[in-house]
Amino acid sequence: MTHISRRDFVKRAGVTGLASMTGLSFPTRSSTRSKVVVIGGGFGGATCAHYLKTFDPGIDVTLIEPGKVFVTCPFSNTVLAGMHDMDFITHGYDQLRDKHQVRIVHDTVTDIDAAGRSIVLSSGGKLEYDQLVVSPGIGFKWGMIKAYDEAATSIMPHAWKAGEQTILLRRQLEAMDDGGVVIIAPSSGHFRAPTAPYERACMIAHYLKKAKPKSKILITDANTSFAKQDLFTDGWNKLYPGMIEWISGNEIGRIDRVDTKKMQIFSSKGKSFKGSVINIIPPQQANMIAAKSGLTDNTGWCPINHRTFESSKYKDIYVLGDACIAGDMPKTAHSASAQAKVCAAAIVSNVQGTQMPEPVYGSSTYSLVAPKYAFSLASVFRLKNNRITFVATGESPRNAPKKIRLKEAKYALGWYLAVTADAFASY
Amino acid sequence: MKIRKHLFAMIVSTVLLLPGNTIGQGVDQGEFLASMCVICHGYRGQGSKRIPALDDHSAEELVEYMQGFKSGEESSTIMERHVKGYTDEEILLIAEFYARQE
Repeated sequence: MTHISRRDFVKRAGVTGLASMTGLSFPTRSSTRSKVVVIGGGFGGATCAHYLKTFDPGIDVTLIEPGKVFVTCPFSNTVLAGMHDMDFITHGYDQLRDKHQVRIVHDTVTDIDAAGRSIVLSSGGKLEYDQLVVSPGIGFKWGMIKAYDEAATSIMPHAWKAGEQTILLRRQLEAMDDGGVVIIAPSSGHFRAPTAPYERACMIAHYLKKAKPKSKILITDANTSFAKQDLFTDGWNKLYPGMIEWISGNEIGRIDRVDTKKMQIFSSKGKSFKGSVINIIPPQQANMIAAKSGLTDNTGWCPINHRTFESSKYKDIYVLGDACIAGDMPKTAHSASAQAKVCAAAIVSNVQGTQMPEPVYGSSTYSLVAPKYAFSLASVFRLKNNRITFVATGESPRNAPKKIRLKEAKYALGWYLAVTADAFASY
Repeated sequence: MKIRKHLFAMIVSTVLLLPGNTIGQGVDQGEFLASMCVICHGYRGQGSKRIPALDDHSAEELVEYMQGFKSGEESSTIMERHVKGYTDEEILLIAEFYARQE
């Protein structure tokens, strides 16, 4: 059951014709025989499946994702703000299947057998692969914050994987009395969406400013600085004066204990804070399946070849998105999308026996302060000494007029619609 | 303007002489580079809400915009920060890819 599209047929016929005319034989394996399995249907995995089929429709692609739909972390802060509903950030896989013939399997991977080139599914099934793409996202390092376990997340949500947790946090904000204190507690180290805690503060403030104007937001940060800090601080002062307070890691150390009964959190430097709503952003690592399969190093993340995203640990296994260590690239949806295309190009080139294009990786991260006020960080990365390295980067100017902030807010929405359409083929 | 057109022609001829992808085989460098732009500019550069479309311009127009952002002659919100990461040859390959889209 090999599907060959017209485009692919023409491609192949052309090459064969040329080869026979010139008497050359091309050292290419037939791509139609290559089976690629992709684990994880987020921005990394879905985009990679999409582009494997775009670059070579003859490749057999199976995407494994437990969820029937995917709820995005990008724009989940706008749900907290009441700007969008959950439907807006929820995406399905039908179009990847129907437009690109990606086989979608809703199941959980329980084991990867690198030597046997196969994976085991929780349903008991086994799938063989020629190349495996692992894009499982993040997991939490439970145990780093005392008493903050999975049960505690139903009282102090993390909302760092969008879905039920997003709804819970929104409901808590709605139920809170005017004059309440909302605490956002970011961890330090590598984590998903490094500027999202500060955007979250803005989006919650946007809701509170109208609905509960006497309330306060406290950011008890394990970090001592963060990207776009001046731009955020200007935005807070301008739009939410007196509402948002940021407390540096210099002062508190890090949050290392919670008490869900007393709604109190404690820091390593002996400070404690009480909140009406408490959002803990716990320390993170690559999703469990990566560690279980031996793809992680002692940092908890997955080392890779920066040109191809092939794992440093196993041949023919590629790791991308938040789970991998990709040099200077931040752990964002945009990074995952860019990495997915580089990885897809690497796999297709490998399968076809052709030269891979020289990778360039782009990244734009927009942060919303209010529905009509946003700014961005733009970066381009290239390989330097086999490491993904910044070659151009810049933030929106600090003194930009209102008009520019509005324009960037509109661009943020355009970006969201484009990046999701690119992942789920929903154009 | 004249200089830029001259530069454009020069790059075109250089790229045409380069040993590019084998015919109909492999991942096209232009398509690959352009896949980075679509993360904001929409599928095959068709635009996304207020983010401008790229597929309704000629390659020459697109190169002119991009070079304008690079030099600062053309004002932008975010493109001036992105374009500095790309070489002239890459800008041309990207422009040619979008010019081929309908």
